[in-house]
Amino acid sequence: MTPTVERGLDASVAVDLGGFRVEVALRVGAGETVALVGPNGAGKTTMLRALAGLVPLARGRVVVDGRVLDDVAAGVHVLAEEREVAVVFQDLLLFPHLSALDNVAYGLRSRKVGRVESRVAAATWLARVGLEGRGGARPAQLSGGEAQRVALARALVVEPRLLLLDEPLSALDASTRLATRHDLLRHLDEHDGARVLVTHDPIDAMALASRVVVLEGGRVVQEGTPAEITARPRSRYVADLVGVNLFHGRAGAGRVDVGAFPLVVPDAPEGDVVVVIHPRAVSLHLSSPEGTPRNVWKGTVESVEPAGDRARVRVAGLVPIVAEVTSAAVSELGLARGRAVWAAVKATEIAAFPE
Amino acid sequence: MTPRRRRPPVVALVLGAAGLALLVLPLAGLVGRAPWGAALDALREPAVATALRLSLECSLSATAIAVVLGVPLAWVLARTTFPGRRLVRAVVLVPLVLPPVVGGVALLLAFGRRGLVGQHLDAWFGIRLPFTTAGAALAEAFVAMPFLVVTAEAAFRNLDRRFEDAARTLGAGRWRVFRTVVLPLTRPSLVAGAVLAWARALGEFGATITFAGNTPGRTTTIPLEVYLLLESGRVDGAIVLSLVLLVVSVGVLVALRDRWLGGL
Repeated sequence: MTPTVERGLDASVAVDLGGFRVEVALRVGAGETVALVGPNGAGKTTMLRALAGLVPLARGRVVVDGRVLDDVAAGVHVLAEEREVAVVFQDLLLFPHLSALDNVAYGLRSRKVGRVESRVAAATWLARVGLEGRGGARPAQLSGGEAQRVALARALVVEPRLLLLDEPLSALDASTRLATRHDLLRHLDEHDGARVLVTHDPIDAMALASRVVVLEGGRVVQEGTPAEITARPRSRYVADLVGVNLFHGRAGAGRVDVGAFPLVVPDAPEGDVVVVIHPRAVSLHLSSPEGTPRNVWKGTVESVEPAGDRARVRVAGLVPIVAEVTSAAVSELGLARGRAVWAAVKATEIAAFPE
Repeated sequence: MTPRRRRPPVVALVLGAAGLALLVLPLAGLVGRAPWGAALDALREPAVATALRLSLECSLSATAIAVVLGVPLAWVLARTTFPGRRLVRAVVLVPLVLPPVVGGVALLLAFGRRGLVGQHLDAWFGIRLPFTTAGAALAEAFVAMPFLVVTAEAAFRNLDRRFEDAARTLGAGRWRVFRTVVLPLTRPSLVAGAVLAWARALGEFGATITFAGNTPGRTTTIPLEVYLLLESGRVDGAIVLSLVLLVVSVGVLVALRDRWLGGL
């Protein structure tokens, strides 16, 4: 049993969406980030909107830091504007007619903080997210990464007791994404309230959250630490999406020691890191492959699980890893339990982030 | 085979040219007959100057009424659901298609001294609207407000409501959301609607003369003065005032060209 959460979020809610019911129980401690993952239409965003007070509950309770925000049975509903719940929206929704500074100051001004004081606090936050001197820019003049950081500052400046993030990195291109993810992690760590992150990207979930809740068809189908989820994906969707290879290791000089094998990861941050490798990024060969992949090691096929026109192949070896290959490759390479293979991963396909 | 560009049929060209002539010739006649040398003198004539001032007063008052009442109405139509909402929207559109003189008669029946509302206004407050400047402004507001409501409603409807959600999660109550998010984001449309309503009010004739009469200095606005001048054979004055209205109309068209001609 999870112990009763004194500080943080304790929610058990049902929301009706035109014949479709989303029903989720969620506990998030203060200072903890929980990722809500699931396919499109699973009810992730609806859940966030319910926690923010933007959609009415059909049933249930929402308590944040001991304050009851919703209790349908008792007829309690605290308006969105009166909750200390901030949201980083999927499309960010920066106010296009306000400067970056005024966007960040907006929440403080709403809470009757004086104009000058609000602007000073907003400028401080812009500097904290690395946007010193960009306060005068309109949202349209900001790059994707900058806009994302303004949205984060706008949400955090009001010191919310609960921070909700809806696909916070989805609008960014791959290169910005990596850097922004590192920054986001750092800022989330400094926030002392509870955090709920909605994402469809397993790497974002692994990188940013200490627990993952998988939502399918409006229900929680699996819940656990990233390691638990990746080790035993309980549904086809979870396997596809969250069933990534996850390692803990120590990084230094562009290498990460995971078990007995140093993986080459050029942009890995120094120190203790989590390494994520998508099964599709792992290729299997009968002889040592020529060419670019620098991360190549020998192993033995442990199991082959067919899934549609692809198969998940578990390989034991210096780095135990799961590869996802086509059914054609399975028969071509004669993949079966006990088969000796070479596993290869391109360095650029490996994501590493601080533990 | 490459498709060959065919010339448009001659019939279409001829009829089209005739149609264009129908629209352009009267305006050309107006501009051509204008007594350019005496234009300034005609504008300085006391009756004309009074009509100009009165028109400005009435049309601006009518625009103010349309904004103060029409924006909330548009918001309610765009943002709430209630039984009969479609009917209400239809009613709002009626003055757009109603012959203005009918509007004037209707106003008399409502706000006249024996009217539905008018008798109480008179008995309780001593307010009499017919044949007063306030009445002229009211008649103009009646015909002009739908332009504002239609434009504003579309603007409210097209605004991404998630901006309002974002503001609410940042602690903004309803009024602050409206003032700091909804109004600024819909301002271009609201201004366009107000300009449109003002232009319609400025040119209003039928409802005004029916409800407010044609008393120089009190209800004789520019269009009514044009009518008076023409009736009394002072064609030059009528032409000059007509040109004033034409210039305003073209000005509005230019100001709003991006909204109306943007697709061209």
